Amino acid sequence: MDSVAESTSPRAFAVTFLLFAVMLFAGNIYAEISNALLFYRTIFTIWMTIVLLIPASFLYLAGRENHWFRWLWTFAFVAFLVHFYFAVGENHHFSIASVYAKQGWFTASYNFFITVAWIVFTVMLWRNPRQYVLFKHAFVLLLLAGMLVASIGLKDGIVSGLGGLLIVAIIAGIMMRFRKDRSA
Amino acid sequence: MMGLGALLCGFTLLLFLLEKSWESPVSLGPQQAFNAGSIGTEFAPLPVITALPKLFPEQFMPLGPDKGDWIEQYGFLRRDDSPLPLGLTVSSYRPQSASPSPVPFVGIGCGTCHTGEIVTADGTRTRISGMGNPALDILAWFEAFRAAVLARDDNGDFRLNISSIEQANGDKLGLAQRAIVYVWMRVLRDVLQNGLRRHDYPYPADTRLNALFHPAGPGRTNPFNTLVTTVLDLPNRSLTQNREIHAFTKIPAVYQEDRRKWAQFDGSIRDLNGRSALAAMTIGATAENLAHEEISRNVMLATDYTRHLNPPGFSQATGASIDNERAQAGKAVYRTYCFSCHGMPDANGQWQPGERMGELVKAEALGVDAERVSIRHAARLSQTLYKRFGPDFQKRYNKVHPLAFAEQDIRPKSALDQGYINAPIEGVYSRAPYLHNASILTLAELINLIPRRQSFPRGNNFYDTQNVGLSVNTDSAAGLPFMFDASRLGNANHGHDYPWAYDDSRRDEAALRNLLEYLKTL
Repeated sequence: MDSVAESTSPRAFAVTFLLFAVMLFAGNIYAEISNALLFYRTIFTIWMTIVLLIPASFLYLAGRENHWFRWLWTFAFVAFLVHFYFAVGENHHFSIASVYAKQGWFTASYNFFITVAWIVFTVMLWRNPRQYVLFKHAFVLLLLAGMLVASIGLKDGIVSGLGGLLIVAIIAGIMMRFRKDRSA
Repeated sequence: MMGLGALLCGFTLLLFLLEKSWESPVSLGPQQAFNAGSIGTEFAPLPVITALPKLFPEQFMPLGPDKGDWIEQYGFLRRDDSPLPLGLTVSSYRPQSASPSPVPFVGIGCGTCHTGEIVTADGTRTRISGMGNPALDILAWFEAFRAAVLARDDNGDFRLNISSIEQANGDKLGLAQRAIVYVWMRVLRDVLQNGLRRHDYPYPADTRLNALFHPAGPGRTNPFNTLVTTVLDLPNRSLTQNREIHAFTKIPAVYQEDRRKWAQFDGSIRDLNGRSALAAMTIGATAENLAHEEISRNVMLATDYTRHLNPPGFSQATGASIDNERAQAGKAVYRTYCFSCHGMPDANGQWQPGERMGELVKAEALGVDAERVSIRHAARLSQTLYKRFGPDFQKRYNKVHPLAFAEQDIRPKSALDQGYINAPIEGVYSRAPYLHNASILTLAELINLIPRRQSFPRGNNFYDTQNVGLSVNTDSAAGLPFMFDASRLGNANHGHDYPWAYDDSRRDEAALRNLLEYLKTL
């Protein structure tokens, strides 16, 4: 496992940041020319989150917690925060009651919990990369389960395709982890 | 790489912040929402609308510059406090999406079509909120607009461009405004040029108010044409004949809408908010922008305004008196021959429904022009509109549309079930011209007291207090340029021969005179 100092690799940051920026820009431009600006901003930012989570999950599950891993998780989180802003801030005017009324108790609670847990997770990635492993595993499990249910279980089209890629990344990551463990 | 990433993020953030500053939500009361509230019909930037008559006088003043300005020639109603006519809305929303815009956009509000004026021979004008505007030739005006957007100069360049707009207005546009106007022009031109296969090129400007070229004319629209072609993307054809439909429809009065179980001439929608939403869709609104918080609120407020809206009395509006004795005698005639379908007010002024009020009647039974209720795709359209606001919207956006209506609140379910609805007729004196297709100028002709004219000139017609309706005189510089011809498709003025047909041997002229007098009191 790399050190935190290594994880700030400028190349990893630049590539991940550029990927994030291109998706943010392209998604926003598409939303601008659509008939539903806020809707597509909300949709595209969750797609961005999943796109970034695909390699991030692979690296996490494969046990390759290197500099790419941290930046991908971090930018996935930033994308999720942007999504959260559009979904809760713009759509619901930051009214928690409105979110619960719209999404229902279970989904709203899950979404709020994941948001808070992701903040903690991101801080841990940078401050305590080798600690709180159980929490991190539990968070990733919960997050990926939620993403898969939301993308494949409840939707179709592009987001469902992204969910499929996420599954592939998860399986590949787990297989990589087993191979690594066996060879070790 | 990082520079490019920062640039893209910075641009996105800047656009987002700028858009925040462009948003200017307005909170209106019911009457304001009716007259000036955005209902999602934005179609052109304000600087374009103010520039067009200067850049294209041949289109917007087709009768010549000495015949009044575009407001007068196309029959809009003038406002004292704005260069735009009454009802045209100004908002910071882009067309179809309601996304924020740095340049104001102009839309068609409820008041544009549903506010009219009674102009008597002495020049007195009484403006009535809720009355259909009998002078407004909005389809011809939109054709002028389409022609202007597509017009090219001798070099093949479009005449409407940023530079010509700025020159006409004597005002420079800001960078963001220029960008939006430019994109708007590109997108609209693409749409219009793609639509040429269906709509063809606009006719020359000097035909603009000529009935031979633009047969809808003043006070009428062709609403199904827009809905069928834009919502279904199908040709608007006749149910029974293999040809284009001519469902010309009078711009209706919208008084006391709460009394109508089913709205529109064909009684096709029961939900009043849904009715308003569909009316907005015929002039460019989308299910998406109608879901916008401010726009949906305006639609609901404007609808509420019409729920209990009353026209002024006949004497107040026209300055003419009513012979109460004859009106009282006419009441008995009305009760016998008209009450059953249209209802009538009781002693307290409460409208009492007749037993057949709200019933859908086949065009053949009434003997009237059938075009309006012969839409081949009527059932497909009603089902598609229900889905667009209902399940499709909910599935796509994961929320309920604020103007959604129930499936049982829209019809017909079969195209064979179309007919005309028996409706109350409050303020009937202000509903001229009569029948759904505005083919009869006066009530005296409608009840067959006098013969129905087969052709008559239309435009800014004076009010005819004697025959109750429109006369063929005017003091407008624009005159009466549109010659209505009842023999043309969709214009038939026969039928609805109540109490008696003109050649019926039972026809009682004295009774009809009394009936006409009573009708003034409604």
